[in-house]
Amino acid sequence: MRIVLEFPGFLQITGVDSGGTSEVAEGKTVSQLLDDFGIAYDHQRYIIPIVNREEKRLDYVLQDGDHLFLYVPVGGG
Amino acid sequence: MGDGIKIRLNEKTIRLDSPVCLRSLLEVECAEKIPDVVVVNGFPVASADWGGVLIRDGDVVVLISRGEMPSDNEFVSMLTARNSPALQGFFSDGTVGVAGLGGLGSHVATALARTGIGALVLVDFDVVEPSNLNRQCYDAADIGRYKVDALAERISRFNPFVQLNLHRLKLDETTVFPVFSDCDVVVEAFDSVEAKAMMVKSFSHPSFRSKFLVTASGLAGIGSPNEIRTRQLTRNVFLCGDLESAAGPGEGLMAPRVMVAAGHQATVVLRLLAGRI
Repeated sequence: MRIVLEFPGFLQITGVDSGGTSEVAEGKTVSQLLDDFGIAYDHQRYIIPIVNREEKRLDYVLQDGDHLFLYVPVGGG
Repeated sequence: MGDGIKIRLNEKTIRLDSPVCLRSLLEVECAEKIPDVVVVNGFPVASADWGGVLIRDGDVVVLISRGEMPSDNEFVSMLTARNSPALQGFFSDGTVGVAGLGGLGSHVATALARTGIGALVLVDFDVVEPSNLNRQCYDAADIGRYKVDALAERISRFNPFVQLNLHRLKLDETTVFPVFSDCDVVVEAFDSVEAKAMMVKSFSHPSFRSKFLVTASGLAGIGSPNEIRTRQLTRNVFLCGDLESAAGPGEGLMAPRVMVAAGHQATVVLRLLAGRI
């Protein structure tokens, strides 16, 4: 299945462009996808998955056609 | 003679039978107190010249008592004229929360108070430090004061009619709900990553689904301000910033970009209140 994936550059995800389409295996969770990108679990807890404009948890099972935005707030205000 | 003339006097339209000399107008309109300054069509007119200026149809006259706050009614008339009647009603009816009164929050609250928001809920546990003066809406006399108190006093000097609800409090996932329960929109203006994340998560809670959050992320440094933009994160959460520029060593928080982000946040609030989003 395919999803649209967006992420900030500092996550340093390689092999896919932010805003592009990614091929994802059926049943894969957001956390498992982040594992595939080499993002350690300790760092995953700072990520807020936004799927189709809804906040989800890291154990959300991705669906075909999902738009996944990996929101990571950065400090400063 | 026709139907007379219409002029704008202190942002209100009034009708006169015919063109009139400025001095005569002032004798009628300001019988109790002659104004200190009179501005006609944008230009101050010296009192010695009042007898020689003819007020005609369409002229705009502003009467000023130096250093004196207009009345509540005059202030609302002025805001309505400036912001447009169609919008001011939405703004006056709005209640907006501001979580954190640092670089973002102090400027957002100031912008909203100047726009004539009906009520502001201002929350911060901190005091003004010297290092805040590079980007936050305080001055040296505020150093050591609680930010909520310093900002409330500052706001009252230009808009004493906005209702202020002040909380000297460090918000957490429990207190956020009662503190902002009356708000239509809440602005997240914290410094820390954890606090920003807490606010975003709070607004997916069922009790806050009918409210809006305007959060910010990525505003440090001197990168192009055009990289700071507004996007809709979820149904009820909007995000302002470049998403990337974290505050840290070599990437300080400086007034220009912080104020650009604050301007984005305040504008989103106004658009939400006006139903334009």
